[in-house]
Amino acid sequence: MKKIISMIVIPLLLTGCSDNTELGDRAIIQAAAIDFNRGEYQVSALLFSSGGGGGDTIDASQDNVIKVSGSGKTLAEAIDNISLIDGKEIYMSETKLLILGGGFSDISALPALNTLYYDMRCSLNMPVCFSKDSELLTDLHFKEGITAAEKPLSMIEYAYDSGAYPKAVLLDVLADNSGGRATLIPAFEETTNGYGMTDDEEGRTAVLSGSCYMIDGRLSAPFDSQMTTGLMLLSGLTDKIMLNFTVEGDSYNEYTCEAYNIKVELLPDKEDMVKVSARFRERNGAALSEEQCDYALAALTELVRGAMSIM
Amino acid sequence: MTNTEKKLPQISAAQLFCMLMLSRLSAEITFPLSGTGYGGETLLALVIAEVIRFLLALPLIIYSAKGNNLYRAAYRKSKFMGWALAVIAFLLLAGAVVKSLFHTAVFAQRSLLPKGSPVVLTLIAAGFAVYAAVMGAEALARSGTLFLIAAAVITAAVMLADIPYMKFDAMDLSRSQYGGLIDDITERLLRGGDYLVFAALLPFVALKKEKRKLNACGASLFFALFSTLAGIMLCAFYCLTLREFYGMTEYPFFAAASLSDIALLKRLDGGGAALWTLCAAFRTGLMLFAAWSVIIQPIWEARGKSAFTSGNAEERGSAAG
Repeated sequence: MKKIISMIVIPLLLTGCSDNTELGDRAIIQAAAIDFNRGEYQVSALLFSSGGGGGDTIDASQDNVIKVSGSGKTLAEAIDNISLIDGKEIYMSETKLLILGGGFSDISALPALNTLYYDMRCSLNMPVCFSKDSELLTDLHFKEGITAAEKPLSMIEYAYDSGAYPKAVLLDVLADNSGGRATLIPAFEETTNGYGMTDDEEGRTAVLSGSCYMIDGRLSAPFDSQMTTGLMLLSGLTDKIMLNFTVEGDSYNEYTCEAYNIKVELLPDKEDMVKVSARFRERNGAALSEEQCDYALAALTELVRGAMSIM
Repeated sequence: MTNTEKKLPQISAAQLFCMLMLSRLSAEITFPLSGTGYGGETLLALVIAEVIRFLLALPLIIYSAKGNNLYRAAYRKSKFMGWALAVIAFLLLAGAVVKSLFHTAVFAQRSLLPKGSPVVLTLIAAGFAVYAAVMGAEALARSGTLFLIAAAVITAAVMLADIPYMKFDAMDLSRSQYGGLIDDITERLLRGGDYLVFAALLPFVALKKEKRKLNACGASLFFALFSTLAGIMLCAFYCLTLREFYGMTEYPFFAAASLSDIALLKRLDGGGAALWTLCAAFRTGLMLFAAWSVIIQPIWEARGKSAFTSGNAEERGSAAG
């Protein structure tokens, strides 16, 4: 009897194999850039290609990363087009970076983000960034890093740790939207900066330039780095930054120090008033003089006040 | 006990506690959320539901603590009352079986096999549940304990892996929304049935007569306490990790597990979902066995079988009839 039951049950347990896909037949997307232009979603994705050099090892320097683009009336259609072009089933659970384009300043990106999470099984901890030209990061062929998305990711991580630029993941966007809050998203722009970071012979690369807000799925106009720092301090996203300040009577020299343990308190009773407290030290850890601390605090307060007009 | 009667399967109070905990936690994790509550509302709803559940079950627990088999005692007092009690409990447990089976299949499809056939998944879960019920109380008890340990390990791993994503200001209860408190409480109450299982399995617990009161009460009180604490811990974990997204997702554990990134294992959502699917199928089997247990007792009493007397394990007959 047990044998009969086993004979019936075991084939049923193999139903998971009925719709299997070999790893080589999957298009593993490492980074995806989506934009909305002329009524269509445009997606460009960096895929791991096992046909390149390096065999089965993901290695950006071995040309085994390919870029494929697709478009469609919905994001799902655009992604399906990529699947048709590449001839493989799309796999987005390992997508390391999502880049949103400037087209989402006019329409909400939330339907696209919901598709990415619920349908495409993207991870909730997938970082999200902005670039006016969404294909900037997918066009550049970064040479460093095991995957093509690793260089931009490390830029975002380092900038966030140092308090310079924000970091937002898919969960932050979805949770903030649900809670009626805006999400600060890091922004990239193109620059020409040295040789060797990418395959480009002219030294073309991407750099973090600031941030923008996502409110109800729509992207705001981008902010510069100064404004970004102020917004991060006001939002409590960071409590330490590198600060430039000048000392009165010494306008030729600008000093740089590290401001840490920064606390920003809004005073709602007083218009445009904010209480800022912080500690300061030099980059090498040495203490600043009291006069320098006062000027640093004034510069910090001015930085925060400048961002209050946006909040 | 006559030579022709088989020995009653014996389970310990600790095993009973493990099975009840596994049943409760698998319902918490594999049943979809339909509310949009967050923060203070979900915690309040959870505590209120647990208190209501415990208060409703209190007469049952007290009566069982006296060492009596509730259904047989009711039958002896009045045949009509005995049958009515057994049939009502059977219908409630049967409904719980169907609901658990449905949600197990849906959870498996949504989290593991999006393209899988829901009918096949339901059949597999049903087959597992029937087999588990047929194997009896001892097999259920042993496997339930193992499943609980495995589920606890993976759940703890998910919680530890998600620590970097927790935002402690998310537990600001002043920002909670309380619009759907009643619906949330109702939904939580409808996930129950564990105390009915408790009453159905109690006669199988191997207890010495003089210690029965303490063990029976202890098992149920421990279950009430730890299930509440576990529910609060899960709720707090979801609020801290998912924040307002908690109210937007059907399976918050699955969502939270997708955040985890542990070395070679990477995301734990797949493994976690597989294990909890197994636990949910176990719950279905446990409920099925409990349903059989409650309906068979008045039948045995009517046939004069010398089983399920008050606390003396040696006087119990065969559970298999």
